[in-house]
Amino acid sequence: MKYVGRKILTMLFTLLLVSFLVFLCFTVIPGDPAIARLGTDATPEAIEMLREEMGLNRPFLVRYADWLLSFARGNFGDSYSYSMSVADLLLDKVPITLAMSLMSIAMIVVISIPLGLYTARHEGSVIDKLIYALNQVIMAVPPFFSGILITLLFGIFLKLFTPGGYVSYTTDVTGFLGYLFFPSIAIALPKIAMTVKLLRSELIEEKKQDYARTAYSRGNHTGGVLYKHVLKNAMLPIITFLGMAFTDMIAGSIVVEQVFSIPGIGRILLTSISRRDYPVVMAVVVCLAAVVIVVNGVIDIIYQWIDPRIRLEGEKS
Amino acid sequence: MQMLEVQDLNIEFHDHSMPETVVYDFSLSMAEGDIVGIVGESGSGKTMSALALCGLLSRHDMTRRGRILFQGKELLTCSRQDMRQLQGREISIIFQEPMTSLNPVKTIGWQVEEALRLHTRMTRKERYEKAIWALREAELPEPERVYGQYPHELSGGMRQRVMIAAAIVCQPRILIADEPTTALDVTIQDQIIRLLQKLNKEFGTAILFISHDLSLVRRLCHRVVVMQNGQIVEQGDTEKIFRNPTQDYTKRLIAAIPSCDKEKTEWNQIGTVVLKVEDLHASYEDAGNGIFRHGKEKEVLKGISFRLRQGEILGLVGESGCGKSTLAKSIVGLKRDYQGRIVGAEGRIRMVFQDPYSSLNPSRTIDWILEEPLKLSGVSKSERREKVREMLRRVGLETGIADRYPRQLSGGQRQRVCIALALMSEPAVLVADEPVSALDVTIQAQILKLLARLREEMGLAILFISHDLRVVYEICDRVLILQNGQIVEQGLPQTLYRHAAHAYTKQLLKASGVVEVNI
Repeated sequence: MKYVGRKILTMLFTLLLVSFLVFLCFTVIPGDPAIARLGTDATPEAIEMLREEMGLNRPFLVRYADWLLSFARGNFGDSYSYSMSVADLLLDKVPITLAMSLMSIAMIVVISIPLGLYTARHEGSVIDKLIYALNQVIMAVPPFFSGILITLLFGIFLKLFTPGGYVSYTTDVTGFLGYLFFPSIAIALPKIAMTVKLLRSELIEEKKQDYARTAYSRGNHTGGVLYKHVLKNAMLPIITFLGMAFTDMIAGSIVVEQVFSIPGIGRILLTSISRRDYPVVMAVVVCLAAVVIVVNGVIDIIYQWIDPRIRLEGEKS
Repeated sequence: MQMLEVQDLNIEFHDHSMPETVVYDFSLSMAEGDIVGIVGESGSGKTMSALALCGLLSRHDMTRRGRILFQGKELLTCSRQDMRQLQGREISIIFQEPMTSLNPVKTIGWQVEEALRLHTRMTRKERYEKAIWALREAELPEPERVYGQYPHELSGGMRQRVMIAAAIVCQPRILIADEPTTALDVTIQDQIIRLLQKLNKEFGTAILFISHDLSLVRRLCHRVVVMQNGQIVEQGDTEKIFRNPTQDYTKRLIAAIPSCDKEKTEWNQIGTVVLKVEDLHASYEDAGNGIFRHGKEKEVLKGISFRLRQGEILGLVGESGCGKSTLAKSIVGLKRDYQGRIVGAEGRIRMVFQDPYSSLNPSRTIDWILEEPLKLSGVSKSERREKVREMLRRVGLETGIADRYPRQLSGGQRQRVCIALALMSEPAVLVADEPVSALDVTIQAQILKLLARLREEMGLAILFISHDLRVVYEICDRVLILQNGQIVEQGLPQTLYRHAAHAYTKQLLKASGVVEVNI
């Protein structure tokens, strides 16, 4: 338990650091939000008045503390370009991106673990070689391109979904999930290929270890050695990889959301950047950072739950 | 009928274009309750034969000519299913490396119970009781506690006991022990041998004991099989073979065992003090516990003092964890945060490590490796070549090996290269950390001879760290016994071995079977 507590404390500290850096960056980059809001034709007096009103003239640290406090209270400020609060704006979009990422992760786990086990067990067989070749191809295709192919195949030829016909989760949950299923495939595909490849090589490596030989000597068949002994050991690097893949997928969803015209976090981020809508951009960046930090923390906790050697170091303290 | 009957077993590997035969016409028969030893050096095929017996080699690698009969059943041609029925239930095996032979992410209890889950229909509770029984038979303290622990929480000796418990949980007819004590300290080694003897007596389990340590085989086994290059050269009753070996190879093996019976001639050319260690304290830090707090200091050296003179070979004996390696590291400057004084031979101390396989850069030629220390001191290229050649001759290697890579050399040759490397910069003191414990007996004897010769020729002072009391007797002029970071006793080997005063020294001597001492 102490381990988890310590982990959370470090995570909070990291998040604080990230928020500071984000705030610093957005203060230094050129572009005056007051001008952005009023347009370049505005008089200097009007701009100065608005700067005062927006609190832009106060000292840096005061503004940071102020921003951080309201941020912690869930008040992310108001969007410059949409006439609503950033919190409301994001609250609407977060579930979309999150659902899509979770669906992709589920696909990766469900598809790549059995495939990895199969290829490791039948190392060198025709199917193993076939999967290997397929993996190489899939890994090389970026999600936006596979997204276009998927739209073409499932949307236009097979008519399994209507391209561009996004259904909001507030109106129809099944329709919403059904639509997101296809972009999730696009996001998951290259990661599935990587996970299969990594798991296969990890399993083959672990299979050579002495403890696997011990397992055989007790009368286990190959399946028993793989499932009961080797898999758990081979999962350690896979979990680290999945953690990185998850954060990468959230970032990658920006592109895929464009291809499938899904109004998620990625889309709002793109429009806000082009409109210099800093409160929205800042909130999104800090939220993404928070997700990355939390996912990494969770990975560490899962890791020590699987591997007793790490658990010991945690409990010693 | 014999319980186990092996006839003309042949093992070939087909990894390369030419099939490589590693075992030729291996034959062996064992009855209930037999203890048979297989001895031989690395590459003699002893481990391969053992793995074949427990069905751990792919059948692809065994030619169909031979037969393995276990209780009348043909193991080479029976179905895999039938083989699995025997594995872990009738035939069990324990391995050399207790550190890696257990699954690191499963509890001890789970692993000990595995054979029961596979071969019996016991309930969970019955399995638990049987596992505790096996752990107790393997003489593990607090079996109930060990049951829930993980391998990394146990010492090497305890892990080997766990391996034994898991192997005997189904009460097999035969236990194959592949170098089970090689990785362990002498006292633990002794305990494991006694444990195997007890299991043999209590349950009549036959034991096939594979080892390169002839003195252990002599203590444990009724019969012995001597192997060389994949072939059996001699077999028969242990005592008979040890007393009257008929084959040259067996004679050489026996002669190579360092003996502590012969009188030592004292080395009388010992000169001035070249290394002085005074009141040395050193400690290691545990893993830290808070984010900003530091861990506890663990003291490993508690006030070590000694002197080493020119031309002297000083033995340092102790078991794992006694601080031997920390002392060596402090002396050669690999560990700097110690208290106390280390004086003399500044910059002229070099070290030779235990494992000649991993201490040489695999991607460089011998030439490059040996020239490196000279490059650092700016010696010209032609001069470097000449010096390397001279050094290779000095350590008894052909100069032709200079452009080879470490992997193309044998273990003994590599250790010679390591010694040559240490000598390139003409040190006054050589610290040798278990330099021969990874080597076969005959190679061991050659390396010891080489060290003795180098001391004679170069006036080298050697700090010889070892856990093998026989080797130390053979080569050292003076011995320090180290226990828990303190020197508990020191003296000349011939007096110390016969009139040990400290209980720990006596225990070490007894465990290694060097001298019969009454405690």
